[in-house]
Amino acid sequence: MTEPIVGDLSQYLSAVRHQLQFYLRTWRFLGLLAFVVVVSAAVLGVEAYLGVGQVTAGNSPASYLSGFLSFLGTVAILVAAFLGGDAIAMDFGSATGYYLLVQPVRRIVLLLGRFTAAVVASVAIGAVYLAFAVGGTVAFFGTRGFPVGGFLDATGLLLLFLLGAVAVAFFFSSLFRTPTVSLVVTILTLWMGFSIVTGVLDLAGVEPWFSILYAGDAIPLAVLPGYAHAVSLPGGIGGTIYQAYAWESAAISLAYLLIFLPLSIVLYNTKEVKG
Amino acid sequence: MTEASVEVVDLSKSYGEFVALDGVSFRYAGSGAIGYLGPNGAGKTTTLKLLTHLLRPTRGTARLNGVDVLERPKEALWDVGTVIETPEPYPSMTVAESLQLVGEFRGLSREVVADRIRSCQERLDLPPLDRRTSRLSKGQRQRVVLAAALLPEPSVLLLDEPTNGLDPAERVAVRNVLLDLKKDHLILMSSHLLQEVTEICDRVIFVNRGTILAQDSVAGIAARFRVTQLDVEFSAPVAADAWPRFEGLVTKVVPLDDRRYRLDFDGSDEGRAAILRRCLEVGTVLSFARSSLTLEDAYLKLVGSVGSQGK
Repeated sequence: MTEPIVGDLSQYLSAVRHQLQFYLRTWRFLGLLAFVVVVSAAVLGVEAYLGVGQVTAGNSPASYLSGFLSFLGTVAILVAAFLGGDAIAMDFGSATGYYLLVQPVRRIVLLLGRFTAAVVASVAIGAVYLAFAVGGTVAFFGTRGFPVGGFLDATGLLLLFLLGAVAVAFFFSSLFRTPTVSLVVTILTLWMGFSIVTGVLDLAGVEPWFSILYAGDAIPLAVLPGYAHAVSLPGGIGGTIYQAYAWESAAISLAYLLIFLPLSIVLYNTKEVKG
Repeated sequence: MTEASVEVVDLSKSYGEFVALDGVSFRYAGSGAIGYLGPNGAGKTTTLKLLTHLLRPTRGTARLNGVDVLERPKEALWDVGTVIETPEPYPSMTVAESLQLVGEFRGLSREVVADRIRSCQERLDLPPLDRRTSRLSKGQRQRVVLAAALLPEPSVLLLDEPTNGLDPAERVAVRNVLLDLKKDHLILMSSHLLQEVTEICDRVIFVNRGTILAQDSVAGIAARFRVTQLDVEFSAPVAADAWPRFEGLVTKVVPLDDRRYRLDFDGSDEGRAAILRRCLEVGTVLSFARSSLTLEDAYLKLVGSVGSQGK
């Protein structure tokens, strides 16, 4: 063939486009999107049924918005796990690797393309959740008093959190050969594993500064004008619930991205296609 | 010295104690087809995977068009089309999209890809282009994968049992494509189908247990193994006491039926003439000919029977 060798950027864009197309054609992305839409709409529907007076009583726009966003961390974890959990393992656990990895494309380019697509798809779902949250806040409280600055902070933290969470998902995906195993381990670790660890540490009064869930929990708090960094557990059982500062959340998410994405690249680059 | 299109030097691959490939070396340039033959587990696919950067060698080097595969895989694979194992394109993609993806990675414009897909459709009878690859039969998928390998019109093709999963008609179509391609491409193909290799390939490499047993032209391999046997047919069975008269001329007599015998000898013309004279002395000779040696015979002589594998 006489064509000059294609640059990495062009191949990266192709990888992004085809991975996005893959997400749009599989139940996973659409299922997650539908889940977010249905749950958010149901919450707003129930609140509308209860009436504006009931919803706004004792609530400020910021506290309502924060409450609506309180599940955002969990949703973001699930989205990252489902979209990134098998993005790399599929090359080794199925025969697609024999189709794709023999092409003249650097693996780092393929990985970064898929990573970008997974983040874009995750952000799209997160944006839908945020849109419902903003819509509910404006519908019940009006635009006055809407915590614009806090909302932008929360959006920024969500973006960083998704980058970190997808990086962890890609790491597990690079670690395992079987896509299903990779997906299940990613979900169990990110969702259940970190929840258990964070809960135990709360009881022990230890700040879980290394937990990505700890970073995620700060997203809904970012819209509040001020919150306590440490709160004693109620009921006299001892222990302390730590709530990450925005800068802590950002730093933790960034650390996860900077640690796990390069690890994924190293694993993917060195992995052999056996079997 | 011409730059080799495919070159491996002392290529080895081990998995712990198990040696899958042990010091394999070969070098081919220009055009033509090379058959890579050996039983299951011989090291054929391992070699092809090392050549395509799917595996990393324990020792040695692999080069494609003069570029080291391990050091610069993208450049090495640029002018190479491959079919290794049984590849599957993304199941969510259509046939056209799967080929388009390859075209994009190879820097081909949409128009060029569309042209080449049309060409592949004619040559390989591709399934409908708008069909998802997850809905293709094994044969259809294999044809799509072959089309993907041919799409960039590479100078080198590395094919691991390219007709695997195809029906006889599809095999003929692929064989014809390969016969056409080998005129100006270099094809290295592994296969279990010796008839196919005989028809397509100019040269063969025999490999077993990770080492090369022989490599030569198909004619050269035949020459190496053809010399030792003669098939003789008599008008009536030869009496058992007649065979001692062949002592010193033949090393082995194998009855093929009650009147036909296969005789092993030293392969010389003098020996052949002497055996003919002796045959005429002991009976009426209806036919007397060298037994024709096929690639299969050479394979069995080199590699051994299936029963001897793994011993």
